[in-house]
Amino acid sequence: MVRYAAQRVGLLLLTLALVALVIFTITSFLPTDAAETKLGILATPESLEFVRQQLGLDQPVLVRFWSWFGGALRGDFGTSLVFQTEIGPLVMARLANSAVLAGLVLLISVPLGIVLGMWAGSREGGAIDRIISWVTLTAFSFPEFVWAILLIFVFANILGVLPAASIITGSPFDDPAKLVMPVATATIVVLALTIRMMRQGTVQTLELDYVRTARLKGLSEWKVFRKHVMGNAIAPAVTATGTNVAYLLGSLAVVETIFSFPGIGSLTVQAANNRDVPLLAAAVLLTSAIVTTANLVADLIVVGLNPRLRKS
Amino acid sequence: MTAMARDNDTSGRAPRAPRARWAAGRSWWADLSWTGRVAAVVVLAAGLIVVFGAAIAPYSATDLNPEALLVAPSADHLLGTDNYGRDVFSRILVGGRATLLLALLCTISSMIVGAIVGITSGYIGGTYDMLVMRIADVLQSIPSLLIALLVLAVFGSSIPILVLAITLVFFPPIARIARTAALQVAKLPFTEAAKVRGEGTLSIVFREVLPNAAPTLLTEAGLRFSHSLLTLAALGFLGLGVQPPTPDWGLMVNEGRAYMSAAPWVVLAPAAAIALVVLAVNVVIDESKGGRA
Amino acid sequence: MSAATTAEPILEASGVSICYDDKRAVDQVSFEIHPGECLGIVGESGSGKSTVSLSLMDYLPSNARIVEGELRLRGRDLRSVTAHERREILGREIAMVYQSPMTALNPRMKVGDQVAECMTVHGVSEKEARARVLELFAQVRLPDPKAALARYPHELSGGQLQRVVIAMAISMRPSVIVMDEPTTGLDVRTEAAVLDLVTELRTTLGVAVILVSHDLALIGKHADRLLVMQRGECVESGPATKVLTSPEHPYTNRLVSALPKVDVPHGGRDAEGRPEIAEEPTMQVFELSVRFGGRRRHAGHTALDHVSLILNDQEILGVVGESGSGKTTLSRVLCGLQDPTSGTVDVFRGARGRGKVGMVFQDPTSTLNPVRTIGWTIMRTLKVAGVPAAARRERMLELLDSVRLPREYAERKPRRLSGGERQRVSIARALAQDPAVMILDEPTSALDVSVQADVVDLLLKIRAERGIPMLFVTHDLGVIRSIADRIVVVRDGQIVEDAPSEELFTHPKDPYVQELLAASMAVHAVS
Repeated sequence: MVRYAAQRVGLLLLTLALVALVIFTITSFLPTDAAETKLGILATPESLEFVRQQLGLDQPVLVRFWSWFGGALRGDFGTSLVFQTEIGPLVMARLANSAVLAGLVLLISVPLGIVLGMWAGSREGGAIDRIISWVTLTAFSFPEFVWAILLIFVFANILGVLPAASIITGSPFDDPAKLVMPVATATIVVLALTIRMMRQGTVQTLELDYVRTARLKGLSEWKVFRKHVMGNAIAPAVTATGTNVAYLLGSLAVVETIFSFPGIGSLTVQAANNRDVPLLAAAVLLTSAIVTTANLVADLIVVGLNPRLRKS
Repeated sequence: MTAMARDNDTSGRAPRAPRARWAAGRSWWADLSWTGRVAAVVVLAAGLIVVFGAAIAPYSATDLNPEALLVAPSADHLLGTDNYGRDVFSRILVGGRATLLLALLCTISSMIVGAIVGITSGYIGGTYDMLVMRIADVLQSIPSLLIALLVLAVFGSSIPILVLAITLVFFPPIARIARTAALQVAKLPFTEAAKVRGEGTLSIVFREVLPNAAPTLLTEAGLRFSHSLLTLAALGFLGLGVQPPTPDWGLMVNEGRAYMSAAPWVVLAPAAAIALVVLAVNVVIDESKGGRA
Repeated sequence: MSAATTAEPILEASGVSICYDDKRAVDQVSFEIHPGECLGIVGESGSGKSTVSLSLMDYLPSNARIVEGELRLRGRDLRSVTAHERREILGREIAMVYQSPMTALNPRMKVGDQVAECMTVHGVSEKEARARVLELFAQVRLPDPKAALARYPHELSGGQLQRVVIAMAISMRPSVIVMDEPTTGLDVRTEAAVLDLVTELRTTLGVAVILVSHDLALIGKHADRLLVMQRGECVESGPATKVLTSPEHPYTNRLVSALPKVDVPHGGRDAEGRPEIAEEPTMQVFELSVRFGGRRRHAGHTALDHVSLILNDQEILGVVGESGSGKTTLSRVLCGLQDPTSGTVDVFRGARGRGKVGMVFQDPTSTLNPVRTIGWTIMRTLKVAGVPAAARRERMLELLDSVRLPREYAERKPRRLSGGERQRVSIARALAQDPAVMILDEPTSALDVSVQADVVDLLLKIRAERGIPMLFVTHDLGVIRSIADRIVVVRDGQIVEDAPSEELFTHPKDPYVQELLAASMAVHAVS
C-alpha cells in the first residue's frame, strides 16, 4: 500500500510536469513575446535582442520550459504583465480565497449528494426518485451564470437580503453573507452531479448477486443497504468527487467573476481577457495541481477501502 | 401485487426484469414519456432555428435603434428590445443559429477525434493505448473551461479556434468512453472470428467494432452537444466566445445584466433560451437511455 | 426433524402459475417434498424452472407474480405472510444455494463474517455464531477451516466458494434448501465432490433439497424424484430412476435419448458408417509451448508445455481437460489467435495461417456480430477467403443448406435465432473459409441437451460429406465419447494420454484420466 502510494505520488509529479508542458506549449504560440510587450512602441531590433537576452528568451524551448517549471515548483512564477507584481504571492492569496469557496461547496454537496443519491437509488422508479431525478436534471442543465443571475435577482434585487457582489478585502469569513450566493450557485450544479452519480451507482449495486444473497438470508432491507450496498457504492462516489473537483474549479471561474469574488478563478478570467500570459499560465498550472492532487487522494482512498486491491 | 407479504413492503424485491426496448425493434418515439416528447419537440424547434433563424427574424439583429431603447415585450417586439434598441427576439434567433451551429460543429469535431482515438486505443491496446490514456489523463487534469481560456487567450476568439479549443477539451472523455465500448467488444468471439478468417485490424475496427459501439457513442454525442452549448455560453458570457457583431446568447446574458432590475427581459430571454435547449437535449438523452441514467 | 418417519410433506406447491407482465412463464405446476428427500426440477432454457425456484424464495422480479395456486411450507401459506414473517422464514426455514458462487458473495466482506451474518440476523449471538461457522466450515469440508474464516471471496476457488455458500445455507438448519444450478461452471471432480457433500448433509441433517438444473444426468444421479418441465408446464414427474429408464412423455424421451452417455460405447450413438481413419496427417503440432507473463515479480505461467499431436485426415480428435488445463490455449494457437512461445504447427494441404483453419467458438450469444445479418457475416467470410463477388451469394445459401438452416435466415440478425441455430451459423462461417482443418472450442457446452445432439449429428455429417478433420475441445466426457475417433487428455499444459476413444474409456492408463472418468461416471452416468 505504501509502495503504491509512493508510485502514485511519483506519477502525480510526472503528470504535473506534462500539464506544465502542455500549458507552456500553448503559450509559446503567442505572436508577441514578453520582450515586445515590455518595450512596447520603443522596440527596435537591437533593444529587442538585448531584452530578450536579459529575459532569457533566446534559450532553446526546453530550457525555457524547465526554468519556468522549476521556478514554479519553488513558488516563483515570474511577474504579471498587467499587474506588474510578483505572480507567486498574488495567486496564493487568491487561491486561499477560492479554497474557502470550494471547501464549502464540497462540504455541502458530498455528504448531501451521497445521501440523496442513495435514497433515490434505493427507491428506483418511485415518487422520490422521480422528483430527485427531475430536479437534478434541471439543476445541471442551467449554466452556473444563469443560476447566479436568478439568485441575485431574487435575493439581492427583490428581497434585498444578500449582497449582489462579494468583493472581499480581508478574510473571506469577515462577512459570511457575501459567501452565501457564490457557494450556493456552485453547489447547485455539483450537488446535482453527485446525486445522479450516486443514484446510478446505488441502482447498479442493488442489482448485483450478492445483494440478492443478503436479502435471501433474511436481512431487512435497511440492513442489506447498510452492510452490503453502502460500502460498495462509496468507492465510485469517491472517484467521482475527484472528477467533480476538476469541474468545480472550472466553474468557479465563472461564479467568482459574476460575484466579483477575489479568487483564483476570477483571476484566471482577468488574465485571459488581458492576455496576461505569465499570470494565466501560472493560474492554470496551480489549479491543475489541485485537481491532480484531489484525484490522487481519491484514488488512494478507493484502494484503501478495497481489500482486493489493498493486498496486491 | 407481489406474491407474498401482506403489507406494502415492496422493497427487498428482485430488480425488475428488463423488457424489450427500442433496440429490439420498438420505435424510439413510442418509448418516450410525454415529457420526453415535449423535449424532443423543443430540440426539433432548436434545429429549425439553426436552419431558418436568420430568415424568420422580424428585425435585424445588429441594427441600432436609438428610439426604442429597452422597450418591454409587446406585439411589435415579442421579447422587447435591449439597451441599444435591438430586437431581442431577432437576436435570439440569429444568435441561436450561431451558437447552436457552433455547438454542433464542436460536437462533431470532438466526437470524430475522440471516437477514432478511443476505439483504436481500445482495440489495439499495448503501448499505443498507454500513451493515449496518459495524454487523456493529462488533459483531464486541467479543468475544461481553463484550457479553453488558455487557448483562446493565446490564439484569439475566432470560430476555428473555438472549435479547436472545445475539441481539445472534450475528446479525452469521449475517447475513454469509446475505448471502453471497444474493449467490451474486442474480446468477444465474433471479433476474434473476424481475425481468424483473415481480416485486417483496420477492417475489424470499422466493420465489427464500430457498429457495436455506435449506440453508446450516439448517446455521448448528445451529452457532448449540451456540454458544448454550456461551455460556449460560459465563454460567451466571459467575453471570450463568439465576438460581436454576431449575437451570442452567453454574451447577451452578460450585457443585459446591468439592466436586470429595469429591463429583466434582456437577461432572461437569452438565459431561458440556453437553459431550455440544454434541458430539452438532456431530457431526450435521459429517456432514450431507458431512464437508467 | 427425523428423515424417514413423517409422511407429511415439508413443502407443497399446488397448481402454481406465474406470469411475467402478461406472459405465462409457469403453468399449473404442482409438487411436494418430504424431509430428507431430493426433488430434481429439470428443464432446458425457457422451461420456467428458475422461475419456480425464485418463487419459492419469494424473489420474483417486480413485474412477475403468482397468479394462482398455493405454496405451503409445513402447512403454512407462503403467499400470505407478512414482510416480517417472510424475513424470518428466509435463511431459517428455507435457504438457497446459487449458481455462480463467485458473484453470490460480497467481495468486500470476509467469508466467515458473511456466514455468521446468516445466523446473527436470526437471533444467534455473535460469539455463538462465530463458533458455529468454524463447525460448519469443517462440515462442508473446507480445507483449513480456521484460515478460511478470514478469507475474502477472491482468495478462494469456485469449489471452495460453493462450499461456503452451502455452509451459509445449512447454518440455521433449514427444512428446505433450494439449489439452482449449483455446480455449473465447476470442474467435474469438484462437481462430484460438492454433490457428494449435499447427499451426505441430506442424510445427516434430514434437510429436503430441491435441485434445479438443466443437466438431466446430474439430477438423475442425485435426486429421488424428478419433475420435468417444458415451456412452463410440468410434463412428467415420478421417481428418478423410472423417469430416466422408461420415460412416458415424448419430451422426456427426447431428453433422455439425447443425453450423451459417458458410460456407454460411443455415448450411445450408432457408430456404423464411421470412416476408418488412416494415418495421413493433415495437421501436425510439434513441441508447442506457450508461456505467459514473467514480468518482474510475476513468475509467469506455462499454459502449454511441449505439446505434440497429429490430426489425421477425416479424423475427429477430442481434446479433453479441466479448466486451466491449457486446452483453450491450444485451440487458440491452432487457429492463429495466439502466438506460441516455441514449437511448430503445420497444416498440410495449404500453408498454415489464418483463413485455412476454421474456428467455432463456445458461446453462441457472442459468436456472431449482433448488428450484422447472418448473410453478411458469411458472405464477408467468403469474400476474405477469396471467393469472387458473383459467386458469393449462392455459396452462402449453399452453406446455410449444408447446416440445415432455412435460406431466409440470411436476412436475419443473430438475436432472432436460437442458441443452437447460431452455433450452426458459426459452423457455416468456419466452412466458408474452405478450411483444411476445423477447430471447435466447447461448441456444445452452452447449448441445451436436445440441441447438443443435433449439433453433434451435423458435425458428423459434415465430416462424412467433406472429409474435413476436426479438433473438438471439451470438458464434457459424455459428448466426446459420442463423437471422437481419438482423444488426447490435457492436464496442466501437457498431454497425459493419447488413445483411440473407446480404448481411453474402457482402459485408461493414466491415473489422472482414471480419476476424471470415475468422477464423470459418478456425476453423469445414468444407469
